[in-house]
Amino acid sequence: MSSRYPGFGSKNDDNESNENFVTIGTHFDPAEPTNSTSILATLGRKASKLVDLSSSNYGYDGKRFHGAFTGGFNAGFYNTVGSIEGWRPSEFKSSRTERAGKRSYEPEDFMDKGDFSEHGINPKQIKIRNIFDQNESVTRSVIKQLPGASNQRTNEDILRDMIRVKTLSIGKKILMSMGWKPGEGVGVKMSRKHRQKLKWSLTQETPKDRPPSPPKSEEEEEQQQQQQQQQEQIPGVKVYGVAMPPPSFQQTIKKTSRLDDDNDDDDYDDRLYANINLPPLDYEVHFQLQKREHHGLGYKGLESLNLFGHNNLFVQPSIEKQISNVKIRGQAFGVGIEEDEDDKDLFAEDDLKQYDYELTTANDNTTDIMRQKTQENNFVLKFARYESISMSVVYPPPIIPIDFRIGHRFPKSAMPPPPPPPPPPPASLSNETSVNEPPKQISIKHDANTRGLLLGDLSFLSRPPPNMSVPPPNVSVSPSSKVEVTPVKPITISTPSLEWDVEKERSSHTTPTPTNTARTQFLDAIKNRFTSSSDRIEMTERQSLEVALESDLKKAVSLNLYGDLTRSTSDWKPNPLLCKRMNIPNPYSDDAYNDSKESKKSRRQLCSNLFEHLFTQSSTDSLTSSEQSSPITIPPPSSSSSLISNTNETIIRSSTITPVISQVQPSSVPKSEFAPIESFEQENQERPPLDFFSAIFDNQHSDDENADEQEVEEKKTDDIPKPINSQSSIVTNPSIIKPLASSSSITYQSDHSDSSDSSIEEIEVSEKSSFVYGPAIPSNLPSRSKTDHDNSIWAKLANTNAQYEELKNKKKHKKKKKHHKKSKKHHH
Amino acid sequence: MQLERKFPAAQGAIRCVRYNIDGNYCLTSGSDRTIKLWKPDSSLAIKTYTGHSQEVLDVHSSYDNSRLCSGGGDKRVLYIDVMSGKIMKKYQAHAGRVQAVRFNEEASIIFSASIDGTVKIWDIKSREYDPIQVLDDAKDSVTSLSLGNNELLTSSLDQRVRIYDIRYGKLYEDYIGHNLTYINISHDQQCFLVGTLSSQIMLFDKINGKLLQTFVDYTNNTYMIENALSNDDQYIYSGSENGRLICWNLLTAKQICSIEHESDNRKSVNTLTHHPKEDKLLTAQEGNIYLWKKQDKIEEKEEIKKTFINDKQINTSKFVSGGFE
Repeated sequence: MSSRYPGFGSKNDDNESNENFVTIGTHFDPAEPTNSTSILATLGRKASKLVDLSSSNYGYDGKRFHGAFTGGFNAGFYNTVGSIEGWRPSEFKSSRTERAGKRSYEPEDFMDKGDFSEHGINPKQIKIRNIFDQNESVTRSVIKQLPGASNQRTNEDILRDMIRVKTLSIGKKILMSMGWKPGEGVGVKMSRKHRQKLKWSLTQETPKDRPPSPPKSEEEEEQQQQQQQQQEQIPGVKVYGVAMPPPSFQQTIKKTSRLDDDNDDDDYDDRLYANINLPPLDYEVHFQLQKREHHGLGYKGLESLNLFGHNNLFVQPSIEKQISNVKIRGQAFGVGIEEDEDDKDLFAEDDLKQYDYELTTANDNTTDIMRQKTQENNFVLKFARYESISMSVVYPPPIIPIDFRIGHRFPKSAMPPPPPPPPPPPASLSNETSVNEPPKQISIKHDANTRGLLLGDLSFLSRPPPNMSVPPPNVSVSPSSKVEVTPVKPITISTPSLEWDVEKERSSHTTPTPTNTARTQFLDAIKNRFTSSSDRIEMTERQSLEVALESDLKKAVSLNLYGDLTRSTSDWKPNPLLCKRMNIPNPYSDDAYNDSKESKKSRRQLCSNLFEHLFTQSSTDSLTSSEQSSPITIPPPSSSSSLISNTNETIIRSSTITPVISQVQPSSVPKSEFAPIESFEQENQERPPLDFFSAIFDNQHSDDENADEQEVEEKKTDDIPKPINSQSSIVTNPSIIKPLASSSSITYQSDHSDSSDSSIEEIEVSEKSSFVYGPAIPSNLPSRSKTDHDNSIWAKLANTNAQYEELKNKKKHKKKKKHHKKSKKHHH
Repeated sequence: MQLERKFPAAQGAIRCVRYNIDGNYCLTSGSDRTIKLWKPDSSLAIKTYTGHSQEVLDVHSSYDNSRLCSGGGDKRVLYIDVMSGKIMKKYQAHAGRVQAVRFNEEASIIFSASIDGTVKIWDIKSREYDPIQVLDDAKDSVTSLSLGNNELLTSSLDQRVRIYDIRYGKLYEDYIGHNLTYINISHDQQCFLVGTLSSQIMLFDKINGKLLQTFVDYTNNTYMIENALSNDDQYIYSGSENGRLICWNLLTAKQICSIEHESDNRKSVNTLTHHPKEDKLLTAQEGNIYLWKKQDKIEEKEEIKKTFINDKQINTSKFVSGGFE
C-alpha cells in the first residue's frame, strides 16, 4: 500500500478511506491567517519563492531547449552562463606586489550545477526535487483559488503544493482524469460487502482448478468459497508440501493482517456503508497453488488425448520457420510397397526435423568446430597467454676483482705519440692542382677549434691556435716552390688539430667558458670531481697517496680511534668580509685572501702547463715536418713578398696600409703571416690588455696617433661579421704561425713586466722567420693594417695567463683603456 | 614525550620545520613550494610564502624575525621579508639543490649548503649576487651545516665533517667513516652531533675530534633525518625512518623513549626542531606537524655532570621590529 503524502495528514480525500495516510503530528490551525509572521508563513513564502525560482528554467544549470532554429540551449547573453559577458574564464592575476592566492580546485568547479546530483554531490541549497511538480502545483493552487472565494491559501495547501508529485505516467494521468485515485483498484465500483469478500478470498488459498486470475463476479466468488470450504471439510484430501496452518490460526492471521478493516464491528460497518460503493481492490493477486499429487514440478497431465494416437504429443517448433522456402507438409511422398511402415498414419503431419536438408552429415562436426572456436576466442579474450608475458632477465652484477682500484691510472706511455711527420707533398704538383686547392681547404678548415669559434666557445683561447707550425728558421721558399707550400698546409693542420681535439675533450671540463654562465657554474661545481689528465704521474702518485690515506682512516675508524688520526687540519682563509660580518677578527691579513682567484689561478696553471707540453711537442713536430717537407732554398725576402703580392693583391693592400710595422720592421715583412692570427684573435672579440700595447709602443717609441689608429682599427675589426672571420681564419698558415707558439712557450715563465720585452724578441724571431711565406690569402679577407694588433697578439700568446686575466676582466680593461688613452694624450 | 597537538600543514610533505628564535612561532617548508609561518601553540597558520619553483628544503629565520632565508630544489637561496612576503634577494649560483640554509647571528650573511658539494656564503648587505666565499672542500654533497659562535660545521657525503674555524683560520676535517646527513652543534659549543646513514648518531668532541658517544637503536639508512639537542644538552632527539620520535640521554646513551607518531603510519619522521627555551619539540611526519611536550616523569635521576654541560643562554631577540610580533 502506498501512501501518497508521507508524513502529512490528508484532508481532501474524504471519500476515500483513511487507510492510505498516516498522520503524524498535529494539524496547523487553518484559522491562522497566512499573512501573519508566523514561522510557517515565512516558510511557506520562502517555499513559494523557491518554487518560483526553480520554475524559471533560465538558470544555466537547468538547460532549456528552444529548438534548433530558435537558439538551441540557452547559454549566451541573457540566458547567460554566469555573467553578462557569457562564458568567461576565471582570471588569474599575480604580480610581485600582489601575489595571487592559491586556489584549491574541486570537482565542482569544473562541473555544471545541474550535474551535481548525477555524481552524488550533495546539493548546497534547499531545492524542490524534480519529482515534485512545481508548475502543476502552482496551477493547481491557482485553480483552487478560483472556485474558493477565499484568497488566502492555507498553510497546508502550500505544503501540499510543495510536495505534490510531479512525475505521473500518462496512464495514471488519464486514469486520474477519469476519477481514479492512487491506491484504488481499477474497475467498476462495488459494494463494501462484496469487496470484503474479495479480500477474504484473496487472502485465502485458491482452489487448484481455478485459473489464476482475479475474481470477476460475485457468483464466481461464492462458488469459489463454497468449493474451498468443501475442500477444507474433506478429510481424505492429502496435502503435500508445507501444510497450511489450521483454519483457526488463519483467521487470526487475517485479523491481524487486515489492519484497515475492523472485523469486530463488521456488522456495524456493513450496515453503515451498505449503500456506499467502493472501488475495487488494488491488490495484485498472486495465487499460490498447493501441490496435491506426486508428479514433478510443472507436470501437466494429458488433458486432451488425441484419439488417433498421434506421435506429436508435444508441440515442436515446426521447421517451416527455419526453412521458409521449403514448404512441405505431411508425408507427401507416400509409402512404397517395400516399406514396412504400413501401420504409419499417412495423413498425420510429419515432423520435418527428421529429415536432413543438407548433404553434409557433418552437422555435429561444424558445431564442434564452432564451439571450439568460440572457446578459443573466449580464452584469448579473457586470459593473456603465458608466453606473452616476458620475464625480465636479471643478470648478476659483474664481479669486481679484489685488486680493483677506483680511478684509472694512465700508463706513462698512454699519451698518444706525437703525430708522425706529415708525408712530403708530391713534388710533381702542378699549378692547376694548387689553384684548386683552396676550396678544398675551406672544407677542411672546420676543425674543432674553428667550429668552437663559430659556436662562440672561447675556451681554447688560452691554447695556441692549433694550426701553428714552426717555420724552419732558415727555410726559404723559392719562387718556384711557393705554389707548393699551400698543399702542405692541410696536412699540417689536420694532424695537430686532431691531437688538439683529443686534448680539448679531456680538458673541456676544466676550461671555463665565460660565455655561458650556467655552464661555468656547473663546471666550477664539478671541478673538484675531475683530475686533469695532464700530469699523470703526479696524479697516480696522488691517487695512491689518497688511497693509502683513506685506508688508514678507515682502519682508524674501524678501531674507533677518532681524534688525531681522523682529523686533518689545514689553513683556511676566510673572506675578510665574512670575518667582518661575523664579528670575528680576521686571522690573516686582509691582503692574504685572494678570493676565488686562487682556484682559478690553479686551473689556469694547469691549462698553461698543458699547453706548454703541447707547444713543445707540436712545435718540434712541425719543425721536423717542415724540415723534412721543404728542402727549399731561401729567396730574398723582398722578392718573396713581391711574389706574394703578385698572387694576392689584397695582401699588398694590407701591407701598404700598415705604417707601424714599416716603422718597426722592414717593409718586406709579409702581412700574410699575421693575418690569420689576427683574425683568430678577432673572432674571440677580445682585445689584448692595454698594458701590452703600452709596453710595446713605449718601447718602440710609437706615437699616440698609432695607438689611436689602432683603436679605430680594432673597432673596425669588431664590426666585421663573424662568418668572414672564420673564413679568413681558415687560411691560416700553420707553418708560419708555429713560431709564435714556440716563442710563447719559451717566454711563458717570464713575468708580466717582462712581457713587453719578450714580445719584442718574438717580433725579432718573426723577422727571422719572415722568409717563409704563407699560403694564398683568400680574396675576401678584410684589408686593413694589422701590425699593431698583431704585436699585441704576439705578446698575448706569449702570456696565456694574462690572456685569461683579460678574458675575465674585459670590462675593466675597457675602462682602463679609456683612461690610458686620456693619460697618454695628456702626457703628450 | 607527550603529544600535545597535531595539525595538518596542508603543504604537501613537510621538508623542514624550524622554530624561530624565541620559540613562539615556527616555519615549515613543504614540497608544494611554499613556506608557512605558524603559531604552533595554537596551530594557527599566519602566512604563506611562495617564491621557490620546487620544493623548499630548508628555511631559517633571522634573529629579529624580520627575514627568512630558504633554499630549495630549484637551486636558489631566497631572502624573504616576513611581513610582506616579498623576496628581497634571490641567489642563484648553486649547481644543485640547496640542502641547508642558515643566517649568521646578525642575519647579515646566509650560508647555504648544496648537493653540488659547496657551501656558499652570501653577503646580504651588499648588492652583489655572487657569493663572497665558496667553500668547495667537500668531495661530495654537503648535506647540512651548523653554525657555532665562530665556526661553521658542515657534514658531507664524503664521510667527513668540516669545521671552518673562522677565528683561527683553520679547517678541520674529521673523517667519520659513514655517510653524514645532519650535523648539529651542541649549545655549549663543545661537541657536535652528526647523524649518519648507518643508523647511528655520533657525538664528537669539537676540539679534538674524538668520539664521545654513539646513539643507536633507530633507523636511518636512506633519508636525511634530523636530530636535535635539548636546551640543556641533556637529551638528544631524533626522528626515525619507522615513524618514531626517539630520545636518548646524552651521557648514558640510553634510549629514554621511542614514540610512534601514528600507529598506522610508519613513514619517516625527517625533521624536528627543539624549542629554544622550553622542553617542547616540533616534528613533522608527512603532511602533519606534531607538537610534543616533555613529561616530567621522564626525568632520570642519574647524576649529570654540570661541569660538562654549561647552560647556554639563548640570545633572545631584543629588538622586535617588523617581525612576527
